[in-house]
Amino acid sequence: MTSRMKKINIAVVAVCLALAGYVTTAAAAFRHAAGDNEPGPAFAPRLLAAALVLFAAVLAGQTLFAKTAADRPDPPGAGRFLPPMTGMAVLFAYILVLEQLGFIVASALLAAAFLLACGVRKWYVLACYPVASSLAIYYIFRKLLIVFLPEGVFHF
Amino acid sequence: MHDFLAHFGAALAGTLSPAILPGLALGVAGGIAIGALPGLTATMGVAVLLPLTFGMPASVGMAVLIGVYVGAIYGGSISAILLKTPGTPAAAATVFDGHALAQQGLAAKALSISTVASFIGGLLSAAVLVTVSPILARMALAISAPERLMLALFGLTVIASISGNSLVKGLIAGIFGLLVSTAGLDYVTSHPRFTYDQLELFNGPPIIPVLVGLFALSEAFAQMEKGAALNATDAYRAFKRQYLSWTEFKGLLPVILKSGLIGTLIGAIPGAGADIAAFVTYGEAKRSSPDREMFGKGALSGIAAPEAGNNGVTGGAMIPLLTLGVPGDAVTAILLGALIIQGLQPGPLLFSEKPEFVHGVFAALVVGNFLMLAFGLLGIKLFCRVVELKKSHVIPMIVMLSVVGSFAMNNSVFDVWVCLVFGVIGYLMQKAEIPSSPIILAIILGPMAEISLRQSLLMYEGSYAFLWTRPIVLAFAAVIALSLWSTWKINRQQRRAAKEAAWEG
Amino acid sequence: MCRPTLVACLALAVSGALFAAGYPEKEIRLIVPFAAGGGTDAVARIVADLAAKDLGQPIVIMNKTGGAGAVGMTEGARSRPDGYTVTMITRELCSLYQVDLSLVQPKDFLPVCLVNEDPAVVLVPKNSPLKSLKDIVEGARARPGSLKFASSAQPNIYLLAMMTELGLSFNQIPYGGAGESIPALLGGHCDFTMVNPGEAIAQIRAGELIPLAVCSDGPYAGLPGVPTMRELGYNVTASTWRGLAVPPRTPREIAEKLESAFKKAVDSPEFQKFMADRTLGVRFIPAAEYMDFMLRDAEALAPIMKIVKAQQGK
Repeated sequence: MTSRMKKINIAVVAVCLALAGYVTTAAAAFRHAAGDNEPGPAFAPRLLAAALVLFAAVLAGQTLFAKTAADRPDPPGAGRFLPPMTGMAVLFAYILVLEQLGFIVASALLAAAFLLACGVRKWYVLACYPVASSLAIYYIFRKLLIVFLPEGVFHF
Repeated sequence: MHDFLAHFGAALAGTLSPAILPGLALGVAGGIAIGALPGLTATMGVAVLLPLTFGMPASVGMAVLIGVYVGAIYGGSISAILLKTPGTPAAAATVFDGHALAQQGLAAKALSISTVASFIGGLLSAAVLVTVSPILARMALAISAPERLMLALFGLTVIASISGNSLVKGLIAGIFGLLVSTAGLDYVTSHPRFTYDQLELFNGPPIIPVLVGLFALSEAFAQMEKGAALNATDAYRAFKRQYLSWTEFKGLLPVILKSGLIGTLIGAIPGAGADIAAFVTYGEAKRSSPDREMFGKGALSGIAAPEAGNNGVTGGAMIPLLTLGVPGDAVTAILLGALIIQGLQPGPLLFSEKPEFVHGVFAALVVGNFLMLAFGLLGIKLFCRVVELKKSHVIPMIVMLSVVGSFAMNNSVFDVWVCLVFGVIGYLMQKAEIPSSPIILAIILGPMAEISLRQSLLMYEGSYAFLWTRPIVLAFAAVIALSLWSTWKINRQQRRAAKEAAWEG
Repeated sequence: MCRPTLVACLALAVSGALFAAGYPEKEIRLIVPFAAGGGTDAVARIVADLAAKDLGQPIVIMNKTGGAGAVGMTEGARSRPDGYTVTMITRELCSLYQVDLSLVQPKDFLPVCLVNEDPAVVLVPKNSPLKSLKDIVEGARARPGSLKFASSAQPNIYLLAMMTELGLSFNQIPYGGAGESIPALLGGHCDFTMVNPGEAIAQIRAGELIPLAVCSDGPYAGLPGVPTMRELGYNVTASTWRGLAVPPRTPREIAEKLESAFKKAVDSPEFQKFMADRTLGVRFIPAAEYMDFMLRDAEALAPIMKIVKAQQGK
């Protein structure tokens, strides 16, 4: 097991333990109403939290007792975190403005941003692709599937 | 018998006529498209096209909806294989071996397996529907909460099979998925669990945004890491134009038939649908396969089994619908509504009162499956074009469609947030080498397990006797035990092999 | 009233009238808070189809499920009051908020009209040892909490009505809708259930399910020969209803246009025949009386909902 994976595993164990703790405390507030016959709404979450602790312990044991191997270098197609992070940030912003700007405008911007993040630089692609695709999607969903995508304040 | 053939023959002729055939064909084609788009499901496709069938006579409208049903359940496999994203939850089990095969450059073969398996599974379920539905419907009624509990538990054991290299990590993912599935209003007491006052969570976590985020978005994020290497030609893009060979087909036939039958049975159980059937048939195929270590790496049965299983549900779910007036899954629940609006009364008397209509449904199902086979095989070349497109162009489209797919089901921006959150979670899990498919499996099956357990306890007034006094439950328990034992054996073999390799290496 | 206010009021009224004059200019959305294919959905689609003809614009159904109707109704109440979003409201509007399961109540809407009311019917499977309602009541008295009731929705107002009025207790097995509770009954896993007649009419006509009593005020035309609870000596009524509403500040003219269109739809022979064929009840209450109807219904439900709240441990 590489030392990087070991560190990641320990982080995973920590998250699991935190989650289990949270679930157990939250579940204590679930009121049991249907009488004695059935275990109530807190039963499953508590059981699952206990199982999570168990498996996290196993993972911790596996990690601590494994021989540490050398870190493998990143394969040629990985390790550049900026594009996906940008993608996540763009999506976050997109959902915030979706209802104000409306689907067509917001999605065109979204597509353009992702094209840029994926390395596309040709200006005509960046101009036509987003506009064409978001218009197409909007109208296909509106007319064919009768699904109303957000109109935004511009009322397209 | 003679009577039956006469009726069925007439219905078949009617279905092949210009009055119905174009509608059915459009339905199948539309269904395939809807199924292939991530985020649009068979249920949604049928619900959305429902109003369009009002102006049509009942038999035509039903034919269109059945076409969409059959097409969509198959269509999900297209994006599962090509884009590592199940187009519908029913295709979630096809991703493992389907995409693995595609990455080996065999996308065309994977698609042909999926098409043929879906066709045979669907046709088999149609045959069962036409011949023994009354008997099967009665048997399906005997299924109650304890049996559903065991079905769900069997499905959950599949988590062990799809955990890849690390069983512990797969189990952790599964537990996480089960915890997510407890969110919502408690089924029995209506007490809110983990809803944080969000009305949209009252019905539980929305499955489609989770599915789309976990698979499509996280894969998009992972691919974006490649930077300049994104558009490099790899085995996936330089795919071989190899289709399913006759020998391979003969080898797969037993798995396909068995899975189709299992799918039909699961469909006949009210409340269990194609997504459950996909995982159950995958798990069963892996358990009983001689080369089960290949599952997850491109095993042909790993594609054939879930696809035959999920299409087997189409005919199976119609069994309780047409014989008892009770829907077998979410899609047939909508078909039930469609029939009611059309003025038919689906119930035990439907067959005797309107035999031409029922035969029309049979015929539509049969012809629809043939159309699906035709469109599917003809379309493989077209579908594979997607593989040839530049990834830098495909990824933005996938992101847009993911957003739309998450929004469309419930017209809800909240669902799009859920999609993003799970996209990030899925991406982080990829980095931590934790498999994400157990989450989907857990979200689909978890509620069924917990609810059935509590229903069973209520029915037995607190006693666990249902675990040892019901024959079907005992049979399931035996299968679960066998499945766990065989998984443990494989795991041990794999660990031994890894140790030996480490010794020698 | 001072001048500026008067001018402002006039301007508002005129603009409202102008706005309403062109209404409707595009499709109208009808939010249905329940799943496609269910009873509420069917009623909505039919009445919308007929009303659209009168309005001259299509009415598009938008299913927004969740929280036993709370999600869809909340969205409807909070939508823009321009008359382009109508909501199908159901009895849950009067019940859920009393147990903190919904953020909206009748006063959060401007009612348009009631279109449908369905009573509950008590059903047993065909080979059941329970031959009459008396058997159920006496069975529950003799062994409290043992008779298994297949519940299609939680909390179950129908059963609670019977429980509170007659002082009985049953073993409630929860299911997700009539699509699951009816098979439970057919398979003999539960002893009885209470649903709306339209949900089980096919099985009733085929003799698979036997109606023991209907919980309406008077004899129910859709189930001839089935006694009402009152006729059998039990003062229990239970029903559900469905109607249409718009957000509170919708201009009066638009609301009136909608009401007249839906009234025409409900009065039409097409609608009457459609509902009768499917054993769905028709009842029309105009906007003027609908709010009172709902407020009285909420009051009537209060004792039952209090019991539910107690059960929830609050």
